[in-house]
Amino acid sequence: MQAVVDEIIKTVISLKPEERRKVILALQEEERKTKTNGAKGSVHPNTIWIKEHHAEYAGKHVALKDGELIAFGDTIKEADLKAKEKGVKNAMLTYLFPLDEVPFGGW
Amino acid sequence: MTQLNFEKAIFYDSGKLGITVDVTIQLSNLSVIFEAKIDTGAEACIFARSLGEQIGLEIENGERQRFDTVTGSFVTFGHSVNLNVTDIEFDSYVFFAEDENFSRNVLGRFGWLNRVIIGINDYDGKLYLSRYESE
Repeated sequence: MQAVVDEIIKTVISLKPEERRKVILALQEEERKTKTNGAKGSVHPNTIWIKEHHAEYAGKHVALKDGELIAFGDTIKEADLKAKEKGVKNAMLTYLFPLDEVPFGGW
Repeated sequence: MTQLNFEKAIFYDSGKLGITVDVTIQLSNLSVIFEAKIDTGAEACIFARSLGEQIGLEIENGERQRFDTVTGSFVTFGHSVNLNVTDIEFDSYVFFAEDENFSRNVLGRFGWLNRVIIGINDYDGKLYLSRYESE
């Protein structure tokens, strides 16, 4: 498969600029279309963890991975660095809003 | 003099209202691309309901969260997804509006702005971006 991809890239690079532009636009259009396999009702394990534990960690930044709490802290930096100390580099970092506050959603 | 270096420098359409960028969200093998506005006033990333549905989310399965605006408030549901802006991607917790008529998409502070370093040259319609990498 990689050989095919390499060949395609090589071919596209060899095209004239206007032809290359057509290829780029066609690919962008394809990417804009929704990819669906008909599956519905998905929910990420991290979402489940937040629903179950938000109250315990409200007002904190948490680092989650595959539905498990890796670390938490008062700042995103603190949660991130603690997660990295535990060897988890790509944790999902988020802030859990205090339960008695309504955050601003934008203008 | 303070100097910052950025991974990406992209042009955005300064003819549009707001600073608008292409965003991809993904869950498992489903993804959707759409336009969102960078909003430093928004506390979170908030997207239209239909976008979450297009990647297979059952919106109400997320955590219910109300947001304020200058004119009132609205209800959303939080979901963990993969968020990609200009090939800078990471897992993020974003919110989808309950109301299907809600059509605004914003990249806000928690979930995006606090994961990147950003520079804006609005005069030239140019956006500078880097993923924040802690030591």
